[in-house]
Amino acid sequence: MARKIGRREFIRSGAALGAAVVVGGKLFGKWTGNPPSGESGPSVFVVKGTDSAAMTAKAVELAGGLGAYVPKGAKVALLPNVQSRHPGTFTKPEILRAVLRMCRQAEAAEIACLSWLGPTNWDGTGLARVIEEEGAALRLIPREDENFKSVPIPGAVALPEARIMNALFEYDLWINMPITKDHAGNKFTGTMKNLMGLNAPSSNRAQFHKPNWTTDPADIAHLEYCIVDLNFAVRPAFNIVDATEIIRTNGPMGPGELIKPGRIVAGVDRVAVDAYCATLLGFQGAEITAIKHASERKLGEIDLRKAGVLEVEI
Amino acid sequence: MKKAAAGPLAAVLLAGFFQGGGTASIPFPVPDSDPAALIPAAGEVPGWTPRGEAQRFDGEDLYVYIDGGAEIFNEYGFRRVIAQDFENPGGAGIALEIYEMTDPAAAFGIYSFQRSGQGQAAGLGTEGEIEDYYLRFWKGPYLAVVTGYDPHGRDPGRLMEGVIAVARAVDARIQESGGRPAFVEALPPDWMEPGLKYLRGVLGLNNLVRLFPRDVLRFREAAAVPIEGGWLFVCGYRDAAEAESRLAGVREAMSAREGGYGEFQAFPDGRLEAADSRGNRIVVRAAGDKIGLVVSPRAAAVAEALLERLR
Repeated sequence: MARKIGRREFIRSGAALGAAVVVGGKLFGKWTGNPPSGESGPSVFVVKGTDSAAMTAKAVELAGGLGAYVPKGAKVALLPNVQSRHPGTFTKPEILRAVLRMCRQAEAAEIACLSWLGPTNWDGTGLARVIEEEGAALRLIPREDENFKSVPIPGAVALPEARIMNALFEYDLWINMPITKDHAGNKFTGTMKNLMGLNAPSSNRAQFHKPNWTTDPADIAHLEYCIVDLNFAVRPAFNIVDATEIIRTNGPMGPGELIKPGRIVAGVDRVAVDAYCATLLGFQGAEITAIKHASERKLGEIDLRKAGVLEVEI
Repeated sequence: MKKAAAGPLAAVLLAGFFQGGGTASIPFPVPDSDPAALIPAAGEVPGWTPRGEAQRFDGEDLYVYIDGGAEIFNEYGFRRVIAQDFENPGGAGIALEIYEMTDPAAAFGIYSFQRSGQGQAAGLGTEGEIEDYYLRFWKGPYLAVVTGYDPHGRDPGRLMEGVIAVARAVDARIQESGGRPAFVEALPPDWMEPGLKYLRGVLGLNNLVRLFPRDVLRFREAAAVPIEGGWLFVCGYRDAAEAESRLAGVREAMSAREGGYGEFQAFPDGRLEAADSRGNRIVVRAAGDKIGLVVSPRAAAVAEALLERLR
């Protein structure tokens, strides 16, 4: 159940699955509280199977149902990963379709996918067709800087301000929908890195990637710190991660070696969700700089025993 | 189009190769042709039609195409990429990407970095390999990657036929040629296959094994040879003095437990040994203008025989 009050943030609280939702605070601002921990029930919800749509629906159900995150009448933005049309590199269309339908069932007033990537990406992945078939909107934001808004990040380590697309601020909340996969620099992408899809490409290029990039490990660390900073600038109401079929090599673009964990991973806590997803690629969360750094900065729980993981197979 | 190794320039290039570590310092001639000319024309691949316009990204704009994945291309030496999708009436797609690198060594390098070592010979380009759902080859300064995708998964056999046909058409259009880096060619032949990777920087190295939290080895070029349970790295330097200097840096880093190494030992013959937290042994030694480094649970047993071959 949910109730909508004036401002725009949705903080999940309560004791167990399907817990009540308290609405308050603001969507854009510094993270001020910890996500629900394993002490009050699991915070990472994993469904294993072969039917991606059913798995997605089940994962959301385990987390309390989408209505716990999307109040009736809300304007909802979605952020699937659509970087490449190579298999195992983008959020699967059937997962997006499932989320669009759940948003409708939650009686969202408006649903749109936001992206500064071009139509080629959306057409090639099949995501554009799903959006059209489900009656949602696809808003392709021009890459020019005037379409992005400065969001200061107090306490930033490497990125003093984000440049978030203006269009995002038209929505009450947004749902993060990455695919987890390999990355040539930091070996992992998941919920936290997907936020670069909201940040201005000029900022991603000039601020996240140091000038005169030397591929030195220190430069990779800088990228990771920027990713964590960005996650303090904006935060999703919920995360749904495609871990069904993913690339283990040659990320993030591919093509590369496909592995099939056959999982949908969901939750509010980006650090916990990413720590779980890292294990699917053969890493402990602490081995990935961004996850470790985000944990140290109290963005979320890196210890999966503390976070609590609920795994179900259908 | 210019040939890669023709005339006086070829002599200069080869001289650079044999100086050791010189492959990146001699500019490879920029091909005259528009890379768009390498894309098969409409009707050239039966059953497959170009979808939309080709996308082209030059130099730093690679970030636009591969935001978050451009660095490894830059590490090898990148000039531009051109990408074109094709589609068939059944809704399947083929993504063609042609990366123009700075020289054939760079093209071989990124090719070797990306290949799994498990592919099947395609008989296309140089060392073309068919993987599960894509085909990759290098030729001259180009890396061609042809990927099949079908959201419905209806006819994978036909899709791969299309992938091969597109790759064959591209292969026929590329006139440039060029060989593997001299550094790689100088290695023992049985180290070449399968899965040898040619490295030009620490990003490529770190994708295989994270040895140190900073760039301690600082090689000019390197080769990674897969061995049982791990890797043999052969790092190239300007001369023996530079190799010895870098080995001293490795010794200092390991003894300070950088990278979390334990059980560090330095032997009178210059060999270094340590253990990592993943159960690997690491054995390091210099050999002339190279450093050999073995990372494997069995490194202590196999390293001496491997590193002896560097002498």
